[in-house]
Amino acid sequence: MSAVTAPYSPVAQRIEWAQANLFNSKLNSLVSVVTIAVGLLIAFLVAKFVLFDANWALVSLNRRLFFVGGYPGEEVYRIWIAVFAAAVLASVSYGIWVGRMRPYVITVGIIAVIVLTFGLGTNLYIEETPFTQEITSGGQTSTISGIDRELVWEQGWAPRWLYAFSLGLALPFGGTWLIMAALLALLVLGALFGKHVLSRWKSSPVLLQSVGAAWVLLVPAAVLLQIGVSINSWGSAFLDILIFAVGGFFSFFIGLVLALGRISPYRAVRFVSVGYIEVVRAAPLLVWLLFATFLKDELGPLGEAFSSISLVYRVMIVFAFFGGAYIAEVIRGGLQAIPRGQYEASNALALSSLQKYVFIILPQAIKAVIPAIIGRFIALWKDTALLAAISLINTLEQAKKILAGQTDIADGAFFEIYIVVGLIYWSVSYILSRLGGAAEKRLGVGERR
Amino acid sequence: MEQKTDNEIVRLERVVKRFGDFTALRDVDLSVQEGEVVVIIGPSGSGKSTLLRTVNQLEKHDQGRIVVDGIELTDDARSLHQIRAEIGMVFQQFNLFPHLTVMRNITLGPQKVRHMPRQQAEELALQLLTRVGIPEQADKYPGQLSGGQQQRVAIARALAMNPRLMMFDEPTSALDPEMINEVLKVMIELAGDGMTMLCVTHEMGFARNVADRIIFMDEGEIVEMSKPEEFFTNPKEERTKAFLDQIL
Ligand SMILES: Nc1ncnc2c1ncn2[C@@H]1O[C@H](COP(=O)(O)OP(=O)(O)OP(=O)(O)O)[C@@H](O)[C@H]1O
Ligand SMILES: [Mg+2]
Repeated sequence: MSAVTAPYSPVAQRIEWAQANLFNSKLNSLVSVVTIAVGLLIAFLVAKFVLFDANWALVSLNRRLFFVGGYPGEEVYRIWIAVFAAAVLASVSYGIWVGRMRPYVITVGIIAVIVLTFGLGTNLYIEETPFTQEITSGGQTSTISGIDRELVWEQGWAPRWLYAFSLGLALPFGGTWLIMAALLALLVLGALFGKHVLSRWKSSPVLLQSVGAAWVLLVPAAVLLQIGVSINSWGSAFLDILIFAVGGFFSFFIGLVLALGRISPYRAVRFVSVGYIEVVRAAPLLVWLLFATFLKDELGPLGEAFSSISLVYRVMIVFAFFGGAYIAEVIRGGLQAIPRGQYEASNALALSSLQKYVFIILPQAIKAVIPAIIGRFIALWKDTALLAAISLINTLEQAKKILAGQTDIADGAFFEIYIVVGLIYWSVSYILSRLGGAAEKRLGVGERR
Repeated sequence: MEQKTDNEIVRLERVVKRFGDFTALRDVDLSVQEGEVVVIIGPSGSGKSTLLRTVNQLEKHDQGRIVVDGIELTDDARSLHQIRAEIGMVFQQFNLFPHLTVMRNITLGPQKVRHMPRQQAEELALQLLTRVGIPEQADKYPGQLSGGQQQRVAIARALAMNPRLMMFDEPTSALDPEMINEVLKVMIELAGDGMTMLCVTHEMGFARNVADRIIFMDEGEIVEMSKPEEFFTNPKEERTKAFLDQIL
């Protein structure tokens, strides 16, 4: 089949395109018809399940637990601040450097419709009524008391089947829909501001430096803001994202240093780098996580220091160093692809070693391996699923807890719960993958090599 | 040690370069005066590139003495840095930085090595691009230019460091025939402006008309060195004659 992409607008053009690409031969027509039929069938089955068969009540009731776990309600504003800071940075940067507004606004719009419509439309809660009951058996009468739990729908103006579109996630983590509306509006306005106002100075180093500085300052600040809350209450998606973000961030720089170490002119440095990478990669992450969990103080002052810090921090360190070993190998591949002429031209210009790597070699090497780096990040993100094995409450563990605690109203809705778990993993992976695509495009402007 | 003569830019004394067992340069002596254009020719593998590359230490030599513009090359990393900053080099394969615009390719050296302010560096770059005839290409990336244009950018990049010496290693060999002249023209103008140049080239027209001296190398040695007129009409060494017979 030809690689022609479907043109936008006129319907006639699309029909022409379909004729030329999907139905241009008997075999091709057959393949197209079967593919379309199977696709429609799958879409129908999914829609039927989501809208009519599934029971999203449990998801909806526990949406806050899903997103932030046991994070105390009166402290959730900290997370909102972090989310808003990230939204401003991300949307403005998107506006300046990517600027494709149509797909962006459509995406935000769909989220807005889901969140706002159904957030306003329906309310769902558990009604708990205490009861006492007298039981007579064998001439003896005893009284049992307990709490009767019943799921109550308070129907708003949105019909119940439509409510299913939001998978019950109408109002994420207990915020009001007003906060959500503000956030979504900010995402659009920030991008518009970036595209139409700031992008005029796109090539100016001042803009680049200020936005860069904002990222460098605000993101760690947003992370540090969370430390005010007892680390033991961190859980679920919030915990996973934080561990991944901090671990992944440092893993990149650890990988960079190790990759450079591997090509160092000093034999000892090379030896240490190679040894480190080989040892770390040789054991599965789960084993390293277990080491980190059960490490004994007896391992000298370093072990003592390590085991004295909170498990969450220890896990972040493990993620950074484990991820770093893989990133190092990826970057090494990129370094090998740089022609010798680039080193020679830099040397001939009298650039220092540091300048040579910072301005010439590393930008090219890293650019060449962005897809592989993104792949490693996605893998690292999904590795947060392992945290369930070391008694941290990650998204997966939280889902199990929800099911275990509410079997009486769960009504067999296991599948629905795990769909949402899957969606949480999927959305972060998807954002990472889009980010990689954008970075690649951005760094590849105008190049033909 | 002897004093350097007044306007000597390059001085090599008994320079030896080996690759393993193979000796690529054997006791090479060379002196280039300010403003001189020296063209090096010789068969493939004779050590022409190696000679240039030892001058700015892209290859470390094994023995001998190298002095550039009065700076003696020592084990001190500073002398190496100073020498490289004094020499502009143009490669056969251009070796532009593909991820940077033409402008950034040219301003990088002056900004980072000479600590020139950005604006001044950009003015200089535009001046140099005008000089090599492509001021309109400043915002493009190397991959968007033709070979001849790329090589002219490479020349501008080297000139931006305000070098005392320009070295060219077969600057036109990777170019399509129709682009050779645009690069040669720039080199001829450069020579006319009094730039000291050390060129490896197969362009005999250029050698004959522009060079002050021609060096013939074979098997890592300087076999013959003379003025173009004499070199082409009256070569002394048998090896030179054989080589000239082959190429002319
Ligand atoms: N890095 C290296 N390792 C081993 N041998 C080398 C290396 N660089 C060059 N040589 C050898 O040194 C000799 C001189 O090479 P050089 O590149 O200087 O020749 P040249 O005169 O420039 O030839 P050409 O006209 O083909 O460019 C050649 O025999 C080459 O094989
Ligand atoms: Mg050569």
